[in-house]
Amino acid sequence: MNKMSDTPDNTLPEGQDAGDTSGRRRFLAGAGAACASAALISVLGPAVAKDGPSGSFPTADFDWEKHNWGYGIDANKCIGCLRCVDACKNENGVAKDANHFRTWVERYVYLEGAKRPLIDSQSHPDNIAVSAPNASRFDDRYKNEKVEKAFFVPKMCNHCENPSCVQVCPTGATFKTKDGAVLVDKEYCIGCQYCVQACPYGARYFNEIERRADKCTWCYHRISKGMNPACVEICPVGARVFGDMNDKNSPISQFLKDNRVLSLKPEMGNRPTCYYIGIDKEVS
Amino acid sequence: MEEHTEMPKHIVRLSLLLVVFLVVAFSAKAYFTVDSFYKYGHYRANSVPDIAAPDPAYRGPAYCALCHVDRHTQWSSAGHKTVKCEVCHGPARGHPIDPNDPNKTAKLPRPTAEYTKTLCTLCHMQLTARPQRDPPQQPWDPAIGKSVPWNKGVSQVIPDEHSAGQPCLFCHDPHQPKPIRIKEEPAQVAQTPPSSPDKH
Repeated sequence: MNKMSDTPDNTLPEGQDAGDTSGRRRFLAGAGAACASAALISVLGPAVAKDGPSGSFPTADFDWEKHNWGYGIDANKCIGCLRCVDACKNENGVAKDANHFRTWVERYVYLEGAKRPLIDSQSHPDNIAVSAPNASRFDDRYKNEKVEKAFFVPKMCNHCENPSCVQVCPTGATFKTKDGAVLVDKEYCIGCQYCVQACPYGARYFNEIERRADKCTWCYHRISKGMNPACVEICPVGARVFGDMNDKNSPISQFLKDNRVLSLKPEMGNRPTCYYIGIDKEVS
Repeated sequence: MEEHTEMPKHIVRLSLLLVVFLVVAFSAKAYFTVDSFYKYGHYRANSVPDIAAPDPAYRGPAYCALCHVDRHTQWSSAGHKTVKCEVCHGPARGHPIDPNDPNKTAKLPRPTAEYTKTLCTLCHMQLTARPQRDPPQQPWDPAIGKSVPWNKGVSQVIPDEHSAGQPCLFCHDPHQPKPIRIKEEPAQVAQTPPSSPDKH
């Protein structure tokens, strides 16, 4: 570096010095500009070319700019019937075994005198007594135990404001939409499963048949048609609430107004948009 | 000590090579990146309409009410009105018009009387952590969960004790579970099952 910067001070034939230095500078400047413009074109080119179509996106009847979805779960109401889990599987073509799910229900059981709860998750097949299609149910394994406190907690993708899965995706196959859903582009997913590992909530699973990561989409094909997600539609006790937080009269706005809500693992900084009431300190 | 004033040839070549590589690389990136990538962010915008496209499987009670008016009226005024049609009957996609042949009708599988023992108990079997209804239909056993809130939830039974193995349908119309259809003791019902249990 010193040698380079010293060059103008050296005693060399004038023409050679000036010509050489300026030529090099010109060359380097030109090369730099070429690279920069190439980069600029590659980044901005498609956007400039594609921007400006009139009408709404992603569909003709649905503009994602106008919505801000939110999801509420009232664990006090959940009866652990697992109808949401089976409905989700029917709606989204999820494998009908206990290891694949977009939403699931956990059971927290405090036995008498125990400091920590026992946690039964839908993800453990031995917790499910009937594995027949559309008839998943919890095994009643505690019927002979002395139970002090017990409750169900439905779980699913939290559609975080700062999603870890999006951050780690190497191909841009997972992303957050303008209306708040975290989706997976199945054509761009290479099945590396970084996102499955990154999610602090364990909300993603790997679809071995399609060789890609899969997750809850809030039934994007339903909400973009003005319907509720399948789990909300089917819940027989109203434990699940969904709606547009931009709309003050939507179920989720009422839910957030009427309750003091929690989110799971706030210390992770993901800022979930699934809000809970009726959960205990051990739920995470 | 001699000062090098000219850029060495190998450096020039290397720089040139680097520039050529960068130009090729960025051109290739611009060429191979699909149009809608970067439109809204670091993802393929055209994947969103694809994800939004599929036909919903669950249609909701309003869809069912287009034909099944009487049943809808009965159901929506009775105790099971929060349990929507498709919870028990399954998703309505492909009904009533056969998706493979528009001239044919496709029926949804009808839950059999025997199957109601599975179906109804998904919600109504006594289960640890399941919130009990207020007032409880069954004597509440503290061993099952004494501090579970009682103000919400569903009525729960121990199926064998409650019905002696009879299908739920014998006494309860799922669309209107109360009042029960046969007002006898469950033990007597077990001995004399009705001749036509298929009154759905």
